[in-house]
Amino acid sequence: MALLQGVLERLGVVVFERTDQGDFRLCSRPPRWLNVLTRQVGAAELASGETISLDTLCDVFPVVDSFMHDAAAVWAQNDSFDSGLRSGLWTDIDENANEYNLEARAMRLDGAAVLLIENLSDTFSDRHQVYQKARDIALINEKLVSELNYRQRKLQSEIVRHLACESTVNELPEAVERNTSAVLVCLPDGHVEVYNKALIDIYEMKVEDQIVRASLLDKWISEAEQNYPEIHRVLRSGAYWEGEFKTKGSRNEDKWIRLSIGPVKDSEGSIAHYVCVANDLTDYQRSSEDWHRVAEYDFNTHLPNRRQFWKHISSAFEANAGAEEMVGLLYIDIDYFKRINDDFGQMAGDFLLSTIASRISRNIKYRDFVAHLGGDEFAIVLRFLDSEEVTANLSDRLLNSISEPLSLDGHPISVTASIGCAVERIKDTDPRSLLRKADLAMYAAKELGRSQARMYSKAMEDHLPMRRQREHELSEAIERQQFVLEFQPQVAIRSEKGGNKCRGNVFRVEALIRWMHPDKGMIAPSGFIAIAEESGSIVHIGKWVLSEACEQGVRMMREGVDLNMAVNISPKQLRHPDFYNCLTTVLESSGFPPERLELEITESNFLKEMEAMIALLGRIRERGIMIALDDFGSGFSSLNYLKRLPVNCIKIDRSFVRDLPNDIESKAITTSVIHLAHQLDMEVIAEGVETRQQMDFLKKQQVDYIQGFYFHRPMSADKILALMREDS
Amino acid sequence: MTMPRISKKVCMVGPFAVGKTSLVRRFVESIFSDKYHTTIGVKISKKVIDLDEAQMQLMLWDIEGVDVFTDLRPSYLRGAAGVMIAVDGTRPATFKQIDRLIELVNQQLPDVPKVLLVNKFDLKSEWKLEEQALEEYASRGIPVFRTSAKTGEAVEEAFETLAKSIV
Ligand SMILES: Nc1nc2c(ncn2[C@@H]2O[C@H](COP(=O)(O)OP(=O)(O)OP(=O)(O)O)[C@@H](O)[C@H]2O)c(=O)[nH]1
Ligand SMILES: [Mg+2]
Repeated sequence: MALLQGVLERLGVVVFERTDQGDFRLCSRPPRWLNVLTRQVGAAELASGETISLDTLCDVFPVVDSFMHDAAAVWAQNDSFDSGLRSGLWTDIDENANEYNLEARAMRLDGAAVLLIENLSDTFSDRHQVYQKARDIALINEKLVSELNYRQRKLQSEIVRHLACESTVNELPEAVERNTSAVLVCLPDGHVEVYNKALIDIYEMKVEDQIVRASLLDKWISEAEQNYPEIHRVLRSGAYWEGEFKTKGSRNEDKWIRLSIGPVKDSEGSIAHYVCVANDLTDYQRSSEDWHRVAEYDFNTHLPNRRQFWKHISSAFEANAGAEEMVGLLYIDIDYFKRINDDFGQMAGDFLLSTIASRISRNIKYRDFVAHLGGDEFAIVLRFLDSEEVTANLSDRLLNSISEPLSLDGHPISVTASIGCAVERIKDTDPRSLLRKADLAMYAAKELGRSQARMYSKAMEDHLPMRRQREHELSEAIERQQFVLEFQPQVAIRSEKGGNKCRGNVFRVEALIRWMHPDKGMIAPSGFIAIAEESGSIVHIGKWVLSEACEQGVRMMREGVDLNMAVNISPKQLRHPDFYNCLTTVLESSGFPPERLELEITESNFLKEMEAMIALLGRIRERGIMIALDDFGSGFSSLNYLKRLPVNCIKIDRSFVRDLPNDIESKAITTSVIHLAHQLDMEVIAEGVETRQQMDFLKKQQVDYIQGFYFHRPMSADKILALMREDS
Repeated sequence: MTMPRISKKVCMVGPFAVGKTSLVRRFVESIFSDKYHTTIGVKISKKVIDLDEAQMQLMLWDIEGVDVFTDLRPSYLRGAAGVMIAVDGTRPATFKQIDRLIELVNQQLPDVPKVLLVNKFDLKSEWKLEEQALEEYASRGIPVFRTSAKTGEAVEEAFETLAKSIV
């Protein structure tokens, strides 16, 4: 027994047993520090076997007070073999400024409720050293990363601004030339246009020729691809990319760089240059353990970063090579994150990411692994799956929790995410292809309208090359005259208007684009508008639609139809600086009366651009042109903005109409939108009306116009003329 | 005549290296050191302050910084009568954690008074914060102090404000 007491004392452990009365009996020999600390609060010294009240114990050790609640839960349980619950470390100081590093532990042993107080001062300094070093480095790194980010982004935008006013680039502004970050501006095919001295320094190239021949863009992309398989997709879509990766120097040595690639588009919306900014991080890399630990977490979200993600998933695959085990990967990408960054600033963007990171983390189980891959992308690795369903359930939870409202700079906003899932057996795949598949599935989710999860399927593989092909074909479709317009009547149903006509015999139609594809036949807008939006060709196509609609409108009017023409304007088109001029030109050259033109714009997130938008729409309205708000209710807009936008008309999104009249929510929304619009003196169009029941409901709610198969499908201009004649 | 004395627990939380320990030392011992000595676990100090009617003994819990290795341990907060959330005005990364910390604190201690300390005010020229965002916390009932543990600026004031809102 004495031996045991000695061992406990040497280990710095004090053992108390809780009595039935709730006091604590000291079962071990009291070490000196225990009595120093008891005396300090004016309590009596303790001898082995004596009891101390809970109150006094808490006076001596305030942490025990806070810990008691959790400890009681442990003591309430039956015996368990685990090592109990720890309070967390605390430091006590005696009057001679000696520090004691203590920790309490509650456990149940042989039916007894046991409280240990452990003196960890001996090992404390080792532990402290590790944390100290790691935090010192983390601090430096945090500063470095935020400084680099700031520098890199500032430089990017400086160069982009420069490119915007120069048609050819063979010279960089002086400041860029002298910048310590390496800069390379090239054409989309990698052809070098211009670079600065810092770039030569990184790769220690001597002659200009070497830089040109090195085709750095290709080199970087293929080096980065090892860690960022999605880089091709990101760049192709015209988005900004940044990341850190290993690159080979001129002597084949490894270097670590941080690179950002920003595409610059021409007035047509096609990518004209890539601006690449690189910083050499090799010197900052430390070989110590701490560095690696620190460097494996994202500083903003505190989640493991891409580096650790690879380490984790690779080691899981290595340790279980050939196993039947199913592994799932969820690839999460925040929808329209860039817009939020642009609208609210990068700080707000970072805040949003860390909020989302904690929402994601809260939804996963302890053995799952979540990482922040960079930018607005997260990944979750799920081990030991027994079915794909698990990933589907998790995706649903994540979609819900990510979209919960939050406040950004005082604006209530809600964001959505697109999730791609891939599930495979370890023996059938490798980490890289699993990630690629999940990424592809995520991309499919984006294509299908975002805010949803998709499971990878083989069919998605064909989709990507097809898409590239589509992009190319689209860019040529105007020249090859493959687009045609159809017109769908919007039938007035409020009694005083009546029939296909309204307001003194005016006939309302919406112009709808169709793509007559040489092989695929007719393609509806849903099959190409998203691609055109992303590639930028939408600006071109939209211009064609506007002028074609006006020309055909003039023709129909000459045939005696008094019509009102609605034309869709995409957000990109509307934001284009040249939009207003283009509108003027089209109206002038076609001779179409402005007061008969209605622009259907979507209510996609105006927020920060609100003022500019209101001003632009105001100018358009001044010319007599009408404005309708399309897809109302589907975006994240709110009724607040509605009041301020100079619009004449609202189109209720078809997703609400579809569920009428049975779905209570759709009913409530349609009804209130119609009433509100009328109060604001706006008209309401319901689109996608297909059934009598939908029509009846909407009519009862006094909707102004109905558009949909229930009355008319879209048709050619000639058919419209025929219909009109029939009608009169 | 001895004044009645009440004892209250106050927790100091925040990201690592924002100056929590320095703030407590400045308040309790009126000293400051430039050296960074990270806190592990929690360190408790006491200080008696005079309020109008009574004396209050503050038990100041200087809790280890939140970083990738450690998150705020909820049990440290139990029983606290007030919470100080400290961030570093020169490090935007710390600023972004305020909301999460408030949320964590509120889960454990709904309704306890809180104050926000944006520390290192002596390095004001390096501050990267949006003042407007700070005002928002004030309007939500969390007084904001721009403190400096180094010069002592606003430190006493912050502790006293919190103590007064506790009684
Ligand atoms: N210039 C300046 N430096 C400060 C101030 N307050 C703290 N520091 C310095 O910031 C570093 C961190 O201070 P600490 O008080 O240890 O920070 P902490 O929040 O307790 O850190 P952890 O315990 O690791 O969470 C030290 O180098 C301090 O000297 C301040 O007001 N001004
Ligand atoms: Mg500290």
